[in-house]
Amino acid sequence: MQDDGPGSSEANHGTDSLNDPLVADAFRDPNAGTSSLVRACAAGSRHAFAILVRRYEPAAVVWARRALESQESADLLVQELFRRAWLRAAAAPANISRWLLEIGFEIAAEMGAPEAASNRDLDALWIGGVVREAMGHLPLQVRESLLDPGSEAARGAGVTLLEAMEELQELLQARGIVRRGDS
Amino acid sequence: MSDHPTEALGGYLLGVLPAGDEPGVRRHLEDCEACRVRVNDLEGISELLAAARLVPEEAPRLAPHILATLPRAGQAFTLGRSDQPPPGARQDSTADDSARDRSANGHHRLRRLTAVIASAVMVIAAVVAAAVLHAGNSDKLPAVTLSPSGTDAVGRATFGRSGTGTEILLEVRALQAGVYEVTVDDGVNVLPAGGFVVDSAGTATVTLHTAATSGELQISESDGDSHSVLLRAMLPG
Repeated sequence: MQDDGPGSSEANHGTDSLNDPLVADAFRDPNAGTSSLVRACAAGSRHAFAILVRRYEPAAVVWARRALESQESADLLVQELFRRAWLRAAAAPANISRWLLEIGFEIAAEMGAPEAASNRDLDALWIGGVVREAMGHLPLQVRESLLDPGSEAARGAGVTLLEAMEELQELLQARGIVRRGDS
Repeated sequence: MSDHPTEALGGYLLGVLPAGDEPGVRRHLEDCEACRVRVNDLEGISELLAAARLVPEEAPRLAPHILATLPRAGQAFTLGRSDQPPPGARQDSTADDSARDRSANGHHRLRRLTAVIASAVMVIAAVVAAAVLHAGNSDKLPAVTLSPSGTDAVGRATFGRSGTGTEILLEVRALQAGVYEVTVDDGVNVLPAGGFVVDSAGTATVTLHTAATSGELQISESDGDSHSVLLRAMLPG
């Protein structure tokens, strides 16, 4: 992969190449642990931030669309959300999901929807979106069986529902969406 | 293991077990600690799945635009502080949604155009300023060493007068990775001078501009919460 990060610029004020262990860790495994991505982002890695954007954008868009009741306003909110996240990446906590959501609430309030922060349904929508995006990385049959456990697909998935849930649990733990022992 | 109703336990957790099978699974869970632990461990996942099923599938659309517009390390940027409303911010809560969206779009386009023009002006100003400062133009003022405060970072600032204020060539080393903002406190106002991004190498060389002609140059971390000054220098009078 061509490194187009800051380290490749002529000004060369730093590195963001795959030789950087933090970035390399993030790329070696598409389901890289969120903590290594967050550390890489804090160190200025655009690559790591790109992975986080791809992971959280779908949830953010669905959440923002419900919060603002407008697709176009939602798109604006989401772009601003990730811009602020990047600018504050050095201070990003391990719980990146909650941190991004709080930035989203902050912007929603500025855009005239302060009530979003007290809407528990929006919390559930966010976490649902985050889980839904993560599920996209499970094998198709496993994913379909979890989304529609009573279906023919679920019965023919080749794994039991319990095993499919454990596979999802492992993925969500690796991504820091749930902590070990929390689920 | 063959005595454990593994097939049924998942259905039990997800509520899709045939009603007739449920009492048997319940009895098994009362007697079998291993299965009980396994089921308890997955109850949270069951709730997350319920939330996920309510969310429509959404493919990433905005990522390329988001990533293309991020400030780059070592690159100066104009400040977009969190206390400023984002593009499309609603000003009039009585406006109806469609009017709000049209207004947001219009504002967004206008702001985007303004941002493009501002960026172009900034780039031109930076190039001119760098040329002026490096060429030893008569407007160039002496380089000033930056005074650190609670940081190991070092650096210097070279100033040059311009018709609209002061050009600043900033060179910093050993600064922690992050986003920094630069301001000038002239004793009455704190005037913005832009900002810059530092990555893991810890260095940055950027050219900035401020409307101020005197006061204290201050570099602070832009983390949205605290703004303690890490490096400072007086603008030459």
